[in-house]
Amino acid sequence: MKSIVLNDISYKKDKVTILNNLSLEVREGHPISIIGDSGKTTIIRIIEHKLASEGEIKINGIPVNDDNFRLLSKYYKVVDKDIKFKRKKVKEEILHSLSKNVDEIKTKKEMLGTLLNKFDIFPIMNLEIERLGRIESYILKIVCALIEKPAFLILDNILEEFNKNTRNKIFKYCKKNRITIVNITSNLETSLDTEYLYCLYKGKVILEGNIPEVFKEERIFKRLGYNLPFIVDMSIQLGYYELTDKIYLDKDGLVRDVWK
Amino acid sequence: MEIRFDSVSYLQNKGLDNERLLLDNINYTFNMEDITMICGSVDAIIGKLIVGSKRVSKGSVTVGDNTIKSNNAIDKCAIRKDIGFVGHTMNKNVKMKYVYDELKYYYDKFKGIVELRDDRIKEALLIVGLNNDYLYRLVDDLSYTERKRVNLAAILVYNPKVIILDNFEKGFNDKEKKEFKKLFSNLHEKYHKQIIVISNDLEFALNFVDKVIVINKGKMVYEGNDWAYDDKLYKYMEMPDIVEFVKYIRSLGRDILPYTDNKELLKAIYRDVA
Repeated sequence: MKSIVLNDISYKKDKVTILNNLSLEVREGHPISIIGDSGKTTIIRIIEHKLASEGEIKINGIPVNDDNFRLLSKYYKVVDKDIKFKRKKVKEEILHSLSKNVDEIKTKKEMLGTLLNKFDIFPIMNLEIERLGRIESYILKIVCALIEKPAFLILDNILEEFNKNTRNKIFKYCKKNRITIVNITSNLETSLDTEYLYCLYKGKVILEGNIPEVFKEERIFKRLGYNLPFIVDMSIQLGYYELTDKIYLDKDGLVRDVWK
Repeated sequence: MEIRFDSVSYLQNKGLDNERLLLDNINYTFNMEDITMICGSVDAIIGKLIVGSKRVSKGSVTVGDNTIKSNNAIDKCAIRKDIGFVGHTMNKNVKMKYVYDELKYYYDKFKGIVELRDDRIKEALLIVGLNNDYLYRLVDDLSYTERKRVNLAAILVYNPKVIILDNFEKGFNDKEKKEFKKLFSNLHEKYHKQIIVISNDLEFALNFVDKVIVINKGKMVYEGNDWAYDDKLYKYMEMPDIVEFVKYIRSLGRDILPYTDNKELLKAIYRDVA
């Protein structure tokens, strides 16, 4: 089973501790979310082997080192807020990503057609990338990452840019195509489609757990500045009024229970 | 300060195969009394037209005493002295290596009273939640949200009349968003700043934004002050969760008022069920 595992990672910058004996893992088929005050993007840079840290990173059980990090990078793609592309036109960028996909031509064609349709890329196909709007740029980045069929798609504060419909499309496509999402976020609403949550504080994991059970630690989330997803918060608060004793992720379930 | 769009159209890639009409005959005057949010498919183009970094294809944008048309001469410095535009693309907006130099650049450009500069810089940093330790840090070393704070401080340092926020709230946690909403509301109410928000996040807009306008396929399709429970808005935009929930409960015949505050809604549900 494919995985990305971080063990006892510590990282300092200018004598400031950014990560402090941090351990976390993501396994194929089990998307995770990571929230926290600082260090989230540093985790990505460490996975990418762009920052030297203490501790161990393993991809698919193989310790990452100077000799193999490039080879292992094919198992993940990072999409962040930096809207920089290497090519001028949308079409060129897509073709470049397609060249990195090693599937058979027929499979590639089908996949490409599905992606371009699903994410509405055809209308912008002939545009220059610098003419794209912000959301269009992010969608293009994600589509190009998906074309390469990584095992893990690491999204750095990107999902909050999209509406629910687009987020659903991304998660559905990834689930169907066995691409596991690592969602780095400041917005807990975007974590609802993932299975496990890590919460960082001062470089450490201070809270982790399955979604939605982990949300029972609402005081910790609130102290760190995060509102719980709306329906989850409603469930917990209505629980204090003894109107429900479950945490719901959907409004229908919650309403049926409260007004039974 | 008057900001007025008169028959504004903006055509991207004019004359080329991939020509796109981003704005189509927009007529609108920004009301100083309202914190206004612009939603829809426009991105930052409205903000860029106001500060003169992009030009209209047709029509004109009036910003105070300046009228910006497709190719007339304009005094960009005079416009930008009064308009602070906090863009979302952090790398493009940064001029200097160090935080202090970045703020100094904007202060010197638009304010100029040297004796007051350092105090003003420190004050601006404090307002955005950064302490003096940040003064001599490299901008490149800052996190995404720290850079946004510096970008905002670089605007506040020269005290413009209008502040345009392009998706500023993205990346901040909920507590930070609440703090910024309070800051912008104070700037609007106490210091009479005109605040224009560009975003599609109506959750952020709740209990903050007075007026919402929506641009869809180039046209202005919605404009409203009492927008939170206005169904016409939700033909184009995603509802905030509390609005969706209340509408759902009401559709089932429950008599719940149109709340925008979670605590009030909880009390109302308790009263209804009990």
